[in-house]
Amino acid sequence: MESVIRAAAIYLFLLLLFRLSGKRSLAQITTFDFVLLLIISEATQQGMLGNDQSLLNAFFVVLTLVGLDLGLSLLKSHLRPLEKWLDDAPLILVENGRPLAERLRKSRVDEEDVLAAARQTRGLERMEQIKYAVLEREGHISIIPQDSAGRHPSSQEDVVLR
Amino acid sequence: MSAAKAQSLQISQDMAFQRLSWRVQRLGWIIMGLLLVAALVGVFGSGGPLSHSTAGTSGLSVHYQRFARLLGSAEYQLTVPAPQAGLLRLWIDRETLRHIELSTVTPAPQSVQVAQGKVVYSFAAVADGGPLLLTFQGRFSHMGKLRTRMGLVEGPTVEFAQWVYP
Repeated sequence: MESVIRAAAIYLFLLLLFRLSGKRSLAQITTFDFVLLLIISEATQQGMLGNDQSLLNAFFVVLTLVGLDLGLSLLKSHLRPLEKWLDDAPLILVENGRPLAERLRKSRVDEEDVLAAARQTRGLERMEQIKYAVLEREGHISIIPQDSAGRHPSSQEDVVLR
Repeated sequence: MSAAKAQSLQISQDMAFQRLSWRVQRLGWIIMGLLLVAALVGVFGSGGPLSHSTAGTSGLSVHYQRFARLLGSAEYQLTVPAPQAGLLRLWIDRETLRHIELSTVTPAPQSVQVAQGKVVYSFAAVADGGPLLLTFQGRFSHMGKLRTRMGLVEGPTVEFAQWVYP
């Protein structure tokens, strides 16, 4: 009984914590984020396993974690509002070359992040070449270029640089 | 910008939800901060100014953990005036000992006797007038609110509450 309760408690705690810290928290895994993930797994391990080193305990901890994950995904497919709360919803950050300042600020993304994503995924050079930039549910930014991207006039520096 | 253009992107964006979720997130950050502050001052045990307290009188005073954790270390520091007879006899309630696995008593008692509803520890003491310090150590085997009782045989009794987190 104890192993199931321990694993469920850790699962729900981490779910809540990462949901509250926002979708950008561990979206881009930097070296430090990777180290952080390792430390988190190390810190939760003891609490999850307790003093019981038995094979059966490990089985039930894993079973609880996978079972909860499966159960939640089934529940989410039937309950749309729950899916929204657990997985978040996508958010448009840039619309027709115009960054939406409040949304950027609230989701802790700056224009540089959007431009970096545009360069990396689409080879775009300027903000106005972006038709839509969308902050996806899992935290990465997807870029949809303007139809005219690549043939853009170079006279709009004032829009890009702030 | 315009609604027509926004609709060209098939996306399940929900601004009402998004605003609510940002608000919940900010509230969550405040709660996280408060929890950390509470942990630092000792509300969740494991050190901090609020995690320990002292109960009793000059006849017997006990320094104990107000907040502790299941399977975490339990410690009681008792300060007792030296007895005139040379023998210090101290009892701990049976119910208290059911919730704590005592492992070390420092200094080691001369004898341990079981009485009705309590265990009596006897220590040989030098009657030089100075107060004696005894330490009981172990770990908590039960969680929740514990009522801890101990006292001197034919002397004062100390009773206090301890909260043990899971």
